[in-house]
Order: sequence, then C-alpha cells, then structure tokens
Amino acid sequence: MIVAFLFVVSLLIGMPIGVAIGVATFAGYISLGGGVLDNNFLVMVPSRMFAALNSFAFLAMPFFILAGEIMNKTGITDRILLFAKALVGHWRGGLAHTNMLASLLFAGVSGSATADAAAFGRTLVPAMTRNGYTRSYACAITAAGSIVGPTVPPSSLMVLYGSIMGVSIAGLFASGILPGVVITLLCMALIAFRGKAKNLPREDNILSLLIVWAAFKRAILALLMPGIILGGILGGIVTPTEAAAIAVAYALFIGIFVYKNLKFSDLPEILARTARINGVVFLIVAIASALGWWLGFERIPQSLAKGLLAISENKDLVLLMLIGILLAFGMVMDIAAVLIIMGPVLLPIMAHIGLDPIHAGIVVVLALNISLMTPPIGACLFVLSSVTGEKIGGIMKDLWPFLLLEVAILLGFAFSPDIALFIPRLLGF
Amino acid sequence: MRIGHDAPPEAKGNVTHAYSAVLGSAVEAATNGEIDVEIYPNNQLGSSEERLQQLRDGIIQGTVASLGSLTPVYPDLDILNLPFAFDNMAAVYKVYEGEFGKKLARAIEAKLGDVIVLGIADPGGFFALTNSKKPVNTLEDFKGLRIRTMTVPAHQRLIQALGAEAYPLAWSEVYTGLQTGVIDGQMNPVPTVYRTKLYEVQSSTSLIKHLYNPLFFLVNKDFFEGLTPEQQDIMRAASMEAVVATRGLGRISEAEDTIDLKEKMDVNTPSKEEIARMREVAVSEMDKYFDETLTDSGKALLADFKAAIKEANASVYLK
Amino acid sequence: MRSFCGQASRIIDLALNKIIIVMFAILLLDVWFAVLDRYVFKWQIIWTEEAARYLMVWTMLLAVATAMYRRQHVFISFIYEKVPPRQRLILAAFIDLISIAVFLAIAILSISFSFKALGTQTSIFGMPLTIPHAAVGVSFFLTAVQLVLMFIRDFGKLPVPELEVDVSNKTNQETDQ
Ligand code: NA
Ligand code: NA
Repeated sequence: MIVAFLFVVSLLIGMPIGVAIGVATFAGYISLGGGVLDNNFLVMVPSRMFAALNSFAFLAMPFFILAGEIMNKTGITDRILLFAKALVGHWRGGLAHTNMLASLLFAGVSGSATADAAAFGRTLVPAMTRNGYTRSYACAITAAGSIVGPTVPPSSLMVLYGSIMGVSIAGLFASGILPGVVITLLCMALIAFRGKAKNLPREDNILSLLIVWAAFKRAILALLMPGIILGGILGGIVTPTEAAAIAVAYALFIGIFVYKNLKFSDLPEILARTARINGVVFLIVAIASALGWWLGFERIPQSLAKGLLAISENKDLVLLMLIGILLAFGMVMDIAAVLIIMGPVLLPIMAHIGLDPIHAGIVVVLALNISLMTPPIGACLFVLSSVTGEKIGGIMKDLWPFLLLEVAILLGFAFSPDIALFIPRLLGF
Repeated sequence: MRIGHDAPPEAKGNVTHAYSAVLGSAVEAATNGEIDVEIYPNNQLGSSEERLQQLRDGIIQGTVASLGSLTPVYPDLDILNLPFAFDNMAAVYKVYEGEFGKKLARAIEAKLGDVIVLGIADPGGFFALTNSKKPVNTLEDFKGLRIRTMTVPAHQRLIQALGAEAYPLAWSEVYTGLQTGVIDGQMNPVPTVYRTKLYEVQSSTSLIKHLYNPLFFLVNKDFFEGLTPEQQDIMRAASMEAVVATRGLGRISEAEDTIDLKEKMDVNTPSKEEIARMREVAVSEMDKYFDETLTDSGKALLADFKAAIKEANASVYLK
Repeated sequence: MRSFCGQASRIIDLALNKIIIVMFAILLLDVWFAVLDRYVFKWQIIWTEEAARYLMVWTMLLAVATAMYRRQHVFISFIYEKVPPRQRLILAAFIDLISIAVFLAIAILSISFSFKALGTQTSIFGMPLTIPHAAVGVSFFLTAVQLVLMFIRDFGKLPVPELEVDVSNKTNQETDQ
C-alpha cells in the first residue's frame, strides 16, 4: 500500500517516471527486510535491471528507432506525404485523408507514435490550417493517425511485449497489419462521413495517374521498407533484431547513395540522438522490471488475478475489465512501464480466459497505443500540443469521435480472435 | 522455503515443476508443515542464472539449476558435456547416484561455498536432434544443417565436429527461427521437443542421444544448516523421492511423446554403426577441446567421470 | 562554482556522447556481421550475440546520463505546471535531489552486484561477468554526477527540457507546394 502511495505521489508531482518507479521499488524491497548496508534484497534491484535489458530480442527496438531516424533525415516523410496526397488529395477533406493515409504508409518505417505525431504536427498541421481546417481538427486527425505507426510493424511496443513475455515478435508483427489498415480506413470513412457537416475544404487537386505515378516513384524506396523488414522476418532470412539492423543498412543506403541527402558526418549525431531516445525507454524498462520482480515475489499478481476473477468468471466481462485496466493505466503512466509492471499481472488472466498469446499481445498493444492519445498524460497529445501550440482541450474536442471509433475497433479485435489472428494464422503462427 | 524453477506449474511433462511439487509435498507432510514450501514457476523470479544468484544470496532457498547456469560459476562442470558417453539411462542413474555423483555434489558445494546439492535430477533424457531438412541417419547427414545450440561452447564445438553449423540463439527466438528457417534444427530432450510443439516447425527427430545434461537441485547452505538434523534428513529423503519422480516422468514422457511425435513427424534412430562413427569423430574432437580448456582439477574430474561411466556401462541391472 | 560545474557537466556529456556513438556503431557492425556470417562467410562466429547484448546494455544505459543532461526523461507535467513559479522552483529542486538519491543508491548497490559476478565467466568471451554488470553502476553514477553538477549550475532557475524533436525545416515548404 505504501509502495503504491509513494509511486502515485512521486509520479504526480512530476518526477521522471523512472525515478518515481525507483522510489516505489526501494520502498518495496526495504519492506522485505534485511540490513541496510548488507541487504541482499536491495542488491536485487540492479540485478533485475541488468537482466531485463540483457536480451538480444530487445535489441530490435534501438535498431528500428535508428532506421526511422535515418529515414526521417532523408526526407522520406515528405515523399510519403506527397504520394498519399496524390492518391486522396482530391476528395473533400483531402488533406485530412492524406494525413490518415500517410500515417499508414509511414507506419512501415516508424515504430513510435510520438515520433509520428511530432513529424506530422510539424508538417501537416500547418499545411492543413493554411488550407482552411481548424488547428484543433488538424491536430485531432494527426493524433488519431499517430497510433497506426506503432500498431503496424515495426513496433517498439511489440518488441518489448514479445521479448518480455516470450511471445514471437514476428507473430506479433504479423498481427499488427490488419488493425493498422482497419483503423486507417475507418477513420477515413469517419472523415468522409462528417466532411460535409464539418464543411471540410476541397483542394483543387485532381486525380491524375501521371501525378500518382510520379509521386509513387519518388516514394517507392520508402514504401519498400516494410516489405524488406517483414519479408526478411517472415521469409525466414533473419530474426526481428537482425531485420531491424538490415532496415538500418537499407535506410543508410538510400540516404547516402540514392537520395544523396545524408552524409556520413550526419551519422554520429543520429546515433547519439537515437541512443538518448532509447536511454529514456531503457531507464523505465529497467526500473519497472525491478519493481515487477518485487510484485512477483510478494505474489501480488496472483492476488489481483484472484480478485479480478472473483468479480466474474465470465470471459467477455473479464476481457472487458482487462481492457479497461490497460486503458486506465495507459492514461496516467508511461506505456512501457505499464507493459512491464502490469504484463505479469494481466497476461496469466488473459491465458486463463483462453486468449492466444499473440491475440493477447495485439489487444494489449492496441489498448496502450490508444491510451497515448487520452488525457491527462497522453504522450501524443503533449507532443502535438507543444509542436503546434494548440491546447490539449482543443484537440480533445475534435478527437473524441475518432477515439471512440478506435476503442470500438479495439473491442472488435478483442472479441473476434478469428479476425485478429487471421493474418498471423495465414503466415503459420 | 521458496523454490524457483523454469517450467509451467503443471507436473505432467514438466520435470522441474514435478521435482519441486514432489519435494514440497513430501517435506510439508513429513515436517507437519514446519517447513512451508512455496513454488515460483515459469522463471517468475528470473532466469536460471538469476535464480542461482538469488539462492546464494538467501533470497530464495531452493532452485532447480540447469547445467548451463552452473558452468559459468564452476567451469569444470563442462566435462558433463562429454558426448556419446552413456550406453543407456540405467548407466546415467548409476553414475549420478553413485560415488561420482556424491563427489560432484561435494565439488560444487566446495566451489560455490554457499549451496548444498540435494539432488541430481533427470531433464527428460538424452538429447535428440530435430531439423526441418532431412532425417539425420549418418555422419554425412549433418553436413549443411544450421543447428541452434545454447550459448555453450562445448555444444557448439560438438555440433561443428559432427559436420553441422552451430549458431547460438536465445530460446525465445528458437520456435520462430525454426519456423522461418533462420536455423534448420536444434537439440533437446524429447519431452521438451514435444511440449514446446517444435513438431509444428520441424520435419524430423533423430534419436542420437549424444548428450545428457542433468539438472541440479540446490538449496541455500545457511538455510539448510539452520534446520534440525531431523529436518535435514527429511529434506534429503524428499529430494531422493523427487529425483525418482523426474526419472519416472522423464521415461513416461519420452515414451509417450515419441509415439505422438511419430504421428506428426519422422522419428528415426541411426544404426549402431553410424552412432559409432559419430562417437568417434565427436570424442576425438571433444578430447582435444577438453584438453585445451580444462584446468588440472577439471581434468581430474573428467577422469573420474569417465571411470564411473565405464563401470556403469559395464554393469547390468539386477545381474 | 556555477560555471565550473556547467563546464564539467558539458565535458562529461561530450565524452559520453563520443563513447556512445562508437559503441553504437560497433553494435551495428556486429549484428550486420552476424547476418553476413550466416549466409556468406559461414565462419560460425559465436561471439556476435553475446557481444551485441553487452554492447547494447552499455550503450543505452550510458545514454540515460546523456538524456538526463538534456532533461529528456519523461515525467507527468500537469500538476507540476500548475504549481506557481516560486513553489515550482522548490518542487524542481526536491525532484532533483530525490533523483540524485535514487541514481546514487542504485549505483552503490551495483558495486556489490558487479563484484559478486567476479568469479562468474561470460559464456563466450570468458571475461568476468563483472564487466557487463558494471554498466548499471557506472551509468547511474554518471547520471547522478551530472544531476549534481546541473543542480548547482542551474540553482535558482527552472530546468528546461530539450525536446528530441527534429524535423528538417524544408519540409514545411515541400508539403505546401
Ligand atoms: Na510501425
Ligand atoms: Na499514457
């Protein structure tokens, strides 16, 4: 109890999340007893931190982030945007559709929602406001689209889930394709459906095969990247970690030799930046693992599971509660930390009610991704707000229909395993 | 006492849980609950290496440790990777239960200083080799196969000596690696192959029986010495029961799983002559390997091991 | 004192960045090499996986310190930002002190954690496990040192996070065409 209290207080007053978890962790380990100077329980803290990070599968995350950073530097974002615009820009609300479609196309390159929100917030939101959209609507579309990135492979959250829970990362990647596409298409449908009522502007774009073809040629090398990653993994050539390293090689090759806008001298700064982005995640993952060990040692997951199952043995109800818990925790905590701390609690329950590990994985990943755009601390909202200057309340005003739609999609995938597992099964997982 | 192990909490098919459950129930019954046994399955408290450290620090009191987790702490144990050593399981029991087993237990206790070896348990039998390309019947069949091994140099050297390619891969990546063809095959006892559903991604199992890697049940020394002599004897007797349980479970699983595997994939046993050819190249290469890597104490232990195996192989049960 | 601390933390950060860049590059080469080995060279090099794991742990943990130098570690800001500026100054100092204590405590515990592994060898390189294990202690100690130096350097000022959001400027024009 004191552990939970210290954690919440530390978190709320604005301590770095890793430190807040650290405070709770120390409280927990000290409660196990032992001396102050020679306390074997306390020495478990660095030990668990090291063990959590010491995994080859985990290495896929830094590499995918690195590949995304390099692709960004080479201006891939613009090429994808122009291609998306050539395809759907002539519709009413063309730029809104472009934004959503570009999120999907960009998803194969990027693995993190906040990076997508930042990139699109910088580029598309100003473009949309100049073309007659309200800034809040432009931000809402960007936020709604930003969760497609970490849903479609590659996805850092899936790497984390797979390596911690011992689930095939390749299988998780396969399971992310369909939800990503469905979210994009249904959000576009929603844009179209409300387009007239919202009086979304029309551009003077025309659909021209010539323009589409030219834009396609400019974007093709970026569009190939997901194929290379997924093909390499599912085709049996490389492990996910190796695929990520190859994605880096591919991005470097394009940047240096094809687009020629990347110099070797750019690389040190890109490496240092990528390391920092990962350092932020690694700190949370490491300390959360130490706290997670304490929870397991005290058998708290078992008690919680018992408590939850005591409320109801009805599978659907339990699943609904689990999704509610994930969304709620995701709203107020870093999602990597939620995954590590809550994973060992929730996954045995999911197994108990008969969820396939890959199905459970996509439900968890989708729920946590959605929580990235819910206040009070949805990270995507923060990034968008700081990049565009729009207030979070303003974004929420236009975002909620999309949020509801995405929650509905999440529930759809949660309660129809055959659809959720369609692509993984097709590929033999 | 807290016991940590690596398997799901169902005794059937999972020797490490079977060991912990049998020991726990025997100890609780015999001490009338004075010693309360709590089991942490599924690597809940960490990997085998981590649990070993936790045991030594007194955080947990018992653990089923793999050979792979003990060797980094006590490199001499690498000798237990002597290939094609035992004629049959009866010889294995005899060696690990006899004088050599006791000597080994004392050596581990002396080297680590903070543990007691209470049992040497059966992991489910000898290693079999599975792969997705072809049945391995002859020495030549090893050629061109990419085999996953643990990050254990002795295993890698052995696979290379037999003519295949050896690549280390984390266990969590093995199923996908085999499925997608990043690697062609792997080696493990038959019950492990069956339980982890490797038959879904492998086409043949070859019962080569080239290795036997025992499991060690360790308890924390301070904890054990804090027990009354009577309780200590209860623990030892319970451990004996648990070891026998792993043997029984190992043989039953092996027998049943082999039949079930035959329904799902090709299961073959190489001929005596071919095994002899494999043994010849493997033994000569591993002799070289042990000569290069072992210290004097390791070489002495290896000589004892070989002598014990020779005697065990020569004896026939109840005769 | 302030300028000395600012200078010192800047130098530590520069040095750390250089080390991180070199290790990250080697890490990348290592994994590329492992793939090439399996399909091209077939040397069956066995150290690539172990090397990759330990390099990653060292690289990314050292980056905890460089990220701290830029105040990039994520935190929940909605209460923090509502605190009036004067009180927020105190709150920020309090958070820094707690952070220093946590990082330092883990660094101290890491000494025992690392030296316990002195007798254990890594599977492939045969080096004492102490060397990879030390990554936790070294990086957390450096993070604590950086925080102390920054605390003195910025005393009486609110910390300003340096966001890692970099999108090249020309993008705006391109999408607007
Ligand atoms: Na992605
Ligand atoms: Na969140």
